[in-house]
Amino acid sequence: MDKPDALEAAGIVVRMCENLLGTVSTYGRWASEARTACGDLIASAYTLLRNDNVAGQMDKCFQLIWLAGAAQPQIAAVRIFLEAEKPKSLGAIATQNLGIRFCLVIECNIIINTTFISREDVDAIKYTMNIPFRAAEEIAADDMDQAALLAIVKLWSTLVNYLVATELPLPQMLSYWFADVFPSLLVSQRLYSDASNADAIRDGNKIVHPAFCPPTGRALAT
Amino acid sequence: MGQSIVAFNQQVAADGTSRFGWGYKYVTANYKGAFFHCETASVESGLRIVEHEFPKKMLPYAESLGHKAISWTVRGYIATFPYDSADNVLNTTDYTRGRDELARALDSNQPGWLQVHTMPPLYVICQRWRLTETEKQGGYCTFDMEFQEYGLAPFAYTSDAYTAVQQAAEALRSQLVAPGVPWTPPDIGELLKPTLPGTSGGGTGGGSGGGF
Repeated sequence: MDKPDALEAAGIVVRMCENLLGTVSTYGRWASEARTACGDLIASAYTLLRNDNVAGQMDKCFQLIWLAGAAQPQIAAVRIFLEAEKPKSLGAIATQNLGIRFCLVIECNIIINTTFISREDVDAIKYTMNIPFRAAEEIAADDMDQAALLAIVKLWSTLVNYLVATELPLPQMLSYWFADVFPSLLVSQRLYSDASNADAIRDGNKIVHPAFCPPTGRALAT
Repeated sequence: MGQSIVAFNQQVAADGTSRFGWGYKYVTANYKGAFFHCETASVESGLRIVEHEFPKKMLPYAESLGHKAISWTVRGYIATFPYDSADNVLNTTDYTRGRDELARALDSNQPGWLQVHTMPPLYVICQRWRLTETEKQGGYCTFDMEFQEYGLAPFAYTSDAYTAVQQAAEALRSQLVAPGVPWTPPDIGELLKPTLPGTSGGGTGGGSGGGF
């Protein structure tokens, strides 16, 4: 990569690493490894970019961030920051696309290892992931990068297939309405004839005190 | 000559002077490309009807639950031919070639196309077959075959969705890292070990963790 391109791309890489570091917890072996890898990448970003060899170290960072327990919304935030960059040089644009695609890979890996409890959650993820994939697909198509385009489309389609398959057996969320404020145990008993779902109702509706559930809320259909 | 009958009928049809309106449709019977002479063929089909009879009502109601699976019962034979003909396995002096070929097709445990004379071909699977040879009729064997319509599997087989996403993600990752090799964790087994305070597992990289 030429010097002006590398300089601009290095800025993108450094900002991306700083955002990635924000997702890492403060303890644990993988977290410390991830911090080390991100630090290495920040320190050597310019050199790696000049040598066209940044992808390997970036991949290591993303893998370690994933192993350290990053959540999908955190990686999505990193991706959104990357998408907001306005690079001018060719090398910087390529680096930006590289980071976005790594984010998509990690997000997919996180999603397929997530346990969903309702169809609405799956629908929300499906909708959320359609937007970056559509953008990435457009960029790859505009760049005439057929290999990347095929890989992105395949990842997108397999993810949607996975989410649809995951969604099918899950219960739907329904709205309920009572005349008065009730304890979560009573709400659960009235909805399911079983008080054991009281905690789920409390968590699902972010109820402050389980003795005073608001009269309206949402609960699993089954 | 069995083959020449077919050729004759087709030629007549091509001339436009068909003496047999159905003759040009006549083809040699075969299952998955294994030819045989068809002695008899019977097709069974219909509708799955459930007859509802109601108390205190004079009229019943016959409800159709859809098309019934087509079943074919075919009796075929393979006989020794007076001389060898290169174009057809049926026209050979060794009838066992055609016999064994048909037996293999029937035993293949896979569906295939069945073509019986003038009938339209159907995608079937062989449910049962019987080969009969008698000493009196040397060089001749009969096949009694039962076929069932194969149809379509209710759910198309797809690979595990989880693995498919994993593989697609790895493919994209490898493509991004190329020509390098994607990074792999040094010891994935460490993930499975509980990280307890004071154990060596958490201390490997801990010293370098606060470098930023």
